[in-house]
Amino acid sequence: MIEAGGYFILLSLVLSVGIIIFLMSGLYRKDGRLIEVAYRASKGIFVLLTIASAMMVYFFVTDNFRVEYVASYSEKALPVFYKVTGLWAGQKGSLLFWVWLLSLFTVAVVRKDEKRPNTSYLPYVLLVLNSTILFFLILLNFVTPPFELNRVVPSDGNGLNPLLQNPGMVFHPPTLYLGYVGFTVPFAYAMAALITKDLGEWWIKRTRAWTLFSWVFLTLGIVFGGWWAYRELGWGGVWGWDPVENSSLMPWLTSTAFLHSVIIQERRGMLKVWNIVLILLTFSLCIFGTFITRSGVITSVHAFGQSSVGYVFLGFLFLIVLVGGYYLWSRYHILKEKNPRIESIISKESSFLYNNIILFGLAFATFWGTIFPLIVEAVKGIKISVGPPFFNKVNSPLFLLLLILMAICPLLAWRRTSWQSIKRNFLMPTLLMILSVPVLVFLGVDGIMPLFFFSFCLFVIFSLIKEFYIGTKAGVVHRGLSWSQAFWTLVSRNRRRYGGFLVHIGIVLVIVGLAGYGYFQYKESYTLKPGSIINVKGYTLKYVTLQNVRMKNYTAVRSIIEVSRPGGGYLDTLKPEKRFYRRNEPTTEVAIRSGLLEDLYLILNGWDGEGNITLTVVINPLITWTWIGTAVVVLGIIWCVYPVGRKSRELEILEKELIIAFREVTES
Amino acid sequence: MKNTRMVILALVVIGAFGYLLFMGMQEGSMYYLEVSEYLKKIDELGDRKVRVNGRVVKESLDFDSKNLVLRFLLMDIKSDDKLSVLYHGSPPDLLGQDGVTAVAEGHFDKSQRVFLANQLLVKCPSKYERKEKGI
Repeated sequence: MIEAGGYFILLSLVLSVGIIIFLMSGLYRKDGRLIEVAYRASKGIFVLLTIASAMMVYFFVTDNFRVEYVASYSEKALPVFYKVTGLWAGQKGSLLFWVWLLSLFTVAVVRKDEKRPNTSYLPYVLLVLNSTILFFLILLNFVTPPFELNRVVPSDGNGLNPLLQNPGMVFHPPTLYLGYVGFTVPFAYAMAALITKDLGEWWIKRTRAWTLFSWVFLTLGIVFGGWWAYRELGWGGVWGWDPVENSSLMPWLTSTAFLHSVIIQERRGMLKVWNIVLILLTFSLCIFGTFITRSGVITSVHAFGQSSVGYVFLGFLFLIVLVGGYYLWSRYHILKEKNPRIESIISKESSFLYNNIILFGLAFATFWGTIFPLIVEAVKGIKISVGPPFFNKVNSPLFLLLLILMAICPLLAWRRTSWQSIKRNFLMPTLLMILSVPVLVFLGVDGIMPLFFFSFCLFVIFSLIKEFYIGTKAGVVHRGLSWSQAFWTLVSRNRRRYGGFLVHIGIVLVIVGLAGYGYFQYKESYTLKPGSIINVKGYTLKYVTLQNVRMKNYTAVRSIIEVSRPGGGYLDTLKPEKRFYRRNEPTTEVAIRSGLLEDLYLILNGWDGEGNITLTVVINPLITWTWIGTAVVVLGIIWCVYPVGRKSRELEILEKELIIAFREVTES
Repeated sequence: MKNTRMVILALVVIGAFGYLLFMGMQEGSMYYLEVSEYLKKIDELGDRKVRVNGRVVKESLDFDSKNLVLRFLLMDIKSDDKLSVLYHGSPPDLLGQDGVTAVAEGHFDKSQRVFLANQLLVKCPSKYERKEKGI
């Protein structure tokens, strides 16, 4: 029974090799039937891998400890909820999950595109996608077989690391993988464009939804990671510039640059080389990130199992860079043809270009800080470590510049912007921003950097509100619509533009949250006797008692803290605790009272025989806005791509417009 | 003319970026050493901030919960060299687990003859996998 899982993976490998042979010979002999077979076989791989993945989940749920992987990451007492997540708890399962997702995406691509009239590019897309699948299948068959058996079947499993027993485990890895794997699709199309020398805008248009899909999941994956760290790791923060965190941020930065620069290519036919470079880079960085996390080559707090698999990824990365680099070099002359130049340094195009330079700078700085220790060790033989101060120092001003651009860009025109229109468009938002500074100072924002951040966040919001207002007003004045009608027409007719603005609003909210917690966090530890009361920053905390709690797979020591306003108004009862899983080593479970203005965050550090506890009180201002902002980002992306009802709504609008036009004609 | 302007602009941007990186490195990078390496260089490094990696000697863990002071010995992974560490704060999760290694960030305090850590990073035997490999 268990062995079958291995056979399915082996069979997938055979199919994958077969696909390459059929595609190659089909392209060589110009025989469509051979290519048709390859399309079918790619669906076969998906079916086989779905069965294999389902089997693995089944073995987890049924506590089949004959499977070495199940025994390593599960135990009988583990809640079913977490048993299911075992699929991606360790390396072997993650790779299986990864290749399963990739096979699913491949099927989606083939199914959608094989019905198109001209599909001469599709065999090449499948070739690239399938080569990536083949790489993972080689790993799963020969390096880390997930269905390996235990020679001695243990009576119970090893258990899941307590830190992974958090709802974050359900959201963070899958969303991150969806993002990582998703970028394979635009990468494959870009490669197909390079190989076929058909280097127009088609590959960008066809992968736009994929790019947005991958980007939004990468974003979600990163934010869920931060949310998880915040709730579970008990240090009161969301981001620590750890190599593993950085390796998810780098492809995010380059893909964000890509999202913007493709707009320029679509509108003006510029930046063709750059766009190819960005998507190659994004995909390479996804693989690079996997190398970093899996090889343990850079010291990280995220102690993944160190293994040789990381180096296989490094080899794969070299292959991608080599092949991608070769095709880019050999097609460079075609890409360079008919490339219009940017006309003015103050225009929409150039602001997109600055945006790309800054995002690239951010990615480079992050890359530099992450791999610098490796370089120094290789060259000088000494180990060094690059910590958060480096990243904060370098990246904060760059993020600030990006924020400023986000405020300016929507107000600029394509090609060139006249000083008059700059004056007209910038006057109100700039005035409002300047007026907001004393208000911010009054509210307690001290320090230059936070003032910059908050005031420019407001600038972006003002200029976006202005955009929405002007567009809506135009509908009201010129077409006689009511305000709500005009607003709806505006945002639903130009979904990309206004969805994009909504994403910007979301990003601004995320920055507000990060700046609030980053610049104004309060953290202090206290030793308390039972019944004692402390006043901290507008809260009165009363330590009531300490309890012992027994749960299914852990015991806990729980402190009961009553929270009220200094005047006496009761707010909440928080219960920070320490949990003891089977290995008797405590893990911290923080208690948080979240609010729109600030989070009260309590950590139980320790206790003694008389019931005295040490408690760390953390206050994180505005952090909730990071989570709200992320939701807004997701909504914005959905608004950009959501297809259902679009056509009918467009027809509806067209109808209304015809009626208006008809009236205008008859009236005149 | 336009090209020279672009080149100058590009140089200014790259220069500013390089300067930013350089300043960041000055502030954010530090030596990462094993306990025995650190003990050899301890005079040379003075009170410079470093990261030291070693195994936590479980028996030496001493936590004063009233004053939130943690003391323990960090032992070299390969030899018997030990470094005495003092940390203001409570012990991180999993610090007392068998075979745990930790990275202490801080500097050596000559007057107290102790390594004053301002940050402790625990590297747990990852995901419980290590035991399996012994079989």
